Amino acid sequence: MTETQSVEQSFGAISVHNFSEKIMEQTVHFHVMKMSGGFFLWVGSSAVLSNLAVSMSCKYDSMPLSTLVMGDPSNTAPNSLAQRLAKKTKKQVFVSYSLPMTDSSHTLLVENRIKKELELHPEHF
Amino acid sequence: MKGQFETPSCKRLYLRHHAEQLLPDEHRLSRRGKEKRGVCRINKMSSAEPIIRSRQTTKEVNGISTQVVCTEFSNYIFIVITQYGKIGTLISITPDSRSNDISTPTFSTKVLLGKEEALTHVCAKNLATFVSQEASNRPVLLGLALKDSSIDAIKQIKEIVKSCQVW
Repeated sequence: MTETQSVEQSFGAISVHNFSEKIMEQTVHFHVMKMSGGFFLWVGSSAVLSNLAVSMSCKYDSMPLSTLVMGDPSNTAPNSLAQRLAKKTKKQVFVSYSLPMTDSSHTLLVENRIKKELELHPEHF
Repeated sequence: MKGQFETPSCKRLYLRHHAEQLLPDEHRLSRRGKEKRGVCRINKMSSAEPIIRSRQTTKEVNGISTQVVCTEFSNYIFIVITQYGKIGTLISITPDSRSNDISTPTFSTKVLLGKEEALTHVCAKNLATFVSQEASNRPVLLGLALKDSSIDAIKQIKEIVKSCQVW
């Protein structure tokens, strides 16, 4: 085996995982793409991609850094979710929070559902 | 439940005391506080069909393992092309609005995350323009992490993207 081949095998294949949950009378869909050292998570009720935030840990701060790369900056939901997931998983996290409803109690339930999936199926993240 | 109770009043008493347990889950949960109901509800698994469609493949390009994942959204096509297993540079490719149908369509590329390089824009346009055109002018969000950005490699990668068509 040559040097390059062993490097190729140092990361696994990208895996895709879907799950959904009825939260407050609304079916919320989750789509996870697991990559090397991080994952992409999309949350939505219809198939739109309305924003994208990226977060990752930084050694100078206990809270991970987070930035919005796409979408409305006044919507803080994608950033805060990305930040909390980055803290929990210690990975680079891409989050698209594409739900029309962003009230805090709903967001909390959505986040709890993600945390539950993280515990049940850590291999998908 | 017949025969279990000595008298009808006995049965009524039993039912009144055990009404909570006899009700289906949903009803029982709704009797509790509103906050609590939500917490309980999310413990119930549901299995709705995924609404996001994606296709992926792994192929060798000039000896380098290359992964492509295409995901369809109603307003975007999300494509990850990686030789590092990561998203890498994130670029958006958006069709410019045209004044008439005769002029050739043009596209704008914007690096959302990562190094701003001329080559990145060239590769992104080359790889994603046809996708946008085929997907009725939807913009493309492209994650690009390439070790080999030669013309030959890009040509081969384009074919892999075609094989992962979700639009």
